[in-house]
Amino acid sequence: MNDGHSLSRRRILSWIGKTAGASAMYQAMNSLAFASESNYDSNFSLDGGNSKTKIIILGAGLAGMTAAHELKKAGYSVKVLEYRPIAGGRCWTLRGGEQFSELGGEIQSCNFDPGLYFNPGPWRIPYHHHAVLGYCKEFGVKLEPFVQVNHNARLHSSMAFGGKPQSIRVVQADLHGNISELLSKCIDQRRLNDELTVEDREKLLEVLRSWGGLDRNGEYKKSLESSLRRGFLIDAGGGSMPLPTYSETLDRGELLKSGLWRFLLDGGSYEFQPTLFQPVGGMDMLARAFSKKLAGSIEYNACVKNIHQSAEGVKISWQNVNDPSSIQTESADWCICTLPLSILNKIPSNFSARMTSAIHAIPYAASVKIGLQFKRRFWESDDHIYGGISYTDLPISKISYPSNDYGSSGKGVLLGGYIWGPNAYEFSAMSAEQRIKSALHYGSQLHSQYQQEFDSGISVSWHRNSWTNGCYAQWTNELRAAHYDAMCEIDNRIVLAGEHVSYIPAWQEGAILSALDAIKRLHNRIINRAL
Amino acid sequence: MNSIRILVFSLLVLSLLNNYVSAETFISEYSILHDQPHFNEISGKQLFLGICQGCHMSEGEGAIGAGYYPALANNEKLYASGYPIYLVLEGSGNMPAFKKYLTDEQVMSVVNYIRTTMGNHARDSVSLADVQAISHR
Repeated sequence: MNDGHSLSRRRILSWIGKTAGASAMYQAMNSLAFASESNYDSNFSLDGGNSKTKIIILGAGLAGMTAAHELKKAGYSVKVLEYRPIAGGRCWTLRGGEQFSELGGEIQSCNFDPGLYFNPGPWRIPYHHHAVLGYCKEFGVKLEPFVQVNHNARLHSSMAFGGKPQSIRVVQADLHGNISELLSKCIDQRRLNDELTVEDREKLLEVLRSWGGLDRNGEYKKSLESSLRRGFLIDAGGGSMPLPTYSETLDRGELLKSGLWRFLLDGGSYEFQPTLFQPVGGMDMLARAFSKKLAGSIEYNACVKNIHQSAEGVKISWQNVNDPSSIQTESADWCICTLPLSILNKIPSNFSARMTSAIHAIPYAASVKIGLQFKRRFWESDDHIYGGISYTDLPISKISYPSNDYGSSGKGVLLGGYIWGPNAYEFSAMSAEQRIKSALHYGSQLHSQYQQEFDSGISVSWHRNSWTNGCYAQWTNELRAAHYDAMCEIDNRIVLAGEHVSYIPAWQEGAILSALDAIKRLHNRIINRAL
Repeated sequence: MNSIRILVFSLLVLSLLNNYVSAETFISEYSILHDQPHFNEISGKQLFLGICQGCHMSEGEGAIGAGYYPALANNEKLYASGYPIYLVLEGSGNMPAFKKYLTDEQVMSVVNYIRTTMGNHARDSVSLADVQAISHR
């Protein structure tokens, strides 16, 4: 990050902090850190690898498989150890007929109908995540649009409008309309004469009238102009159908007090601006495509027990998950370790002191996702919501509607909770049944059909997940300053990769870019040693 | 016989009610619409069941997968009261820092709970001043 970038970021944060309070700044800090632009080189390739050089890769998530795929192409001898019986890591999709068990032993069965699925981890790909999109293209993984912003989805605050959800369309139109009217009045009352020339004032009035949907008197109220933005009470029809009727605007004071405008910022931020994509059929289509390229190179059900490096190479001890009595050892010249830090910091190893302290320093965010199957797609047939996300101040935080198979009959699956912060710890502490019950209880406040139409549900708590013990590496600016450089270093024979070794934490793009960067540096190290 | 049946029935109802109430009451507010994220749980037991057991499991037995969560049960490390107070407040490694979500009273309650249950028998109890000495607030 150059100085100009960090300075402007700091400035932006201080503005947000002053105007919107600390919690908004906390949110903004996260999203700005996430918003770093991709540095993907679409022509990435390494040349001159030697098949006598063996590289062992720990973890068959996207970082591990990116490294394995590219190193294999470069000519190296590659072996991947993976704890689970399948590849992909957090790039994961749950479908009907599957079971999974979380720490504590509770087993959940997924009872979704054929063709329906739920992505417990990553679920959307921004258009500027060039590396993820690049591999989708290389492997022929079919993509479809992921609807992030749906103006007919809902914004809900339990503390505003009597708990009645409002559509994004209405909140946005009324917010823009009221701001425009008030600013127009300021101009009319010559309050901005010092800031603006006569011509500027005229131009700005024109902007506000048009952008805000003001009527010819510069007012935002029940009118054709406002209804063209916020929608009509009665929509236009044909023949002798009723005439279109304008809709009443929300009370300005209540709108401001509701805070619902905050939710609008999500879809407007860089990482969530359209177009976003999802792989057709589930996010793990990408993982499957990678693992197909690596057939025979991945050792599944391998639990890493010890990581030991010396001047000559690396020795990894691992145990078959299904045969705990057997310890096996795998030696290699080099190692790329993509295990989450939350797992790695529990495995005996001999990293340098710098690396060891970095590995132990970064906490993992708590998050829980809940997939709910309903008997019918009532959000489409009753509520006319096709894809997109509703937001609420309730613990479930979001409801996201499927961005595919619109209008299909039969059951449908939506994301019934995407839970963070204190609530994520609380949902992690619940049984699977309690989580579903709570998700239904809260979701009912946005959709009255919830209880009646509920069919089955499944939840994933990332902290209770036996192979991640958390969702993603929760860096702060202080932790970055203290540990990020160390974490990127090639530590004798081992280099780390994964979303935790990136400035795009929690995103697949971060995992892939960190792997590409790690293997490029490792390859250079190997080539230069050989010379 | 009948009275036993009634007792069993009322216990059952009570436990169901308890489950329901705990699902309703102790889900804390966390939203960009709210000022300060915090936990609503009050007693040590509520805090343990509402938060800690997510990773340390319902009997404090910990859990083992590709990595592990340490057990709180039968854990003599907890007897040095500064250790659990510090870990709850500031975190370490996988243990998250809860300082911004919990009051010192809540920290005191949960630390006292884990030090005297699940096979732990700390003789002293932690005071608010003990927590404040570490939280500096």
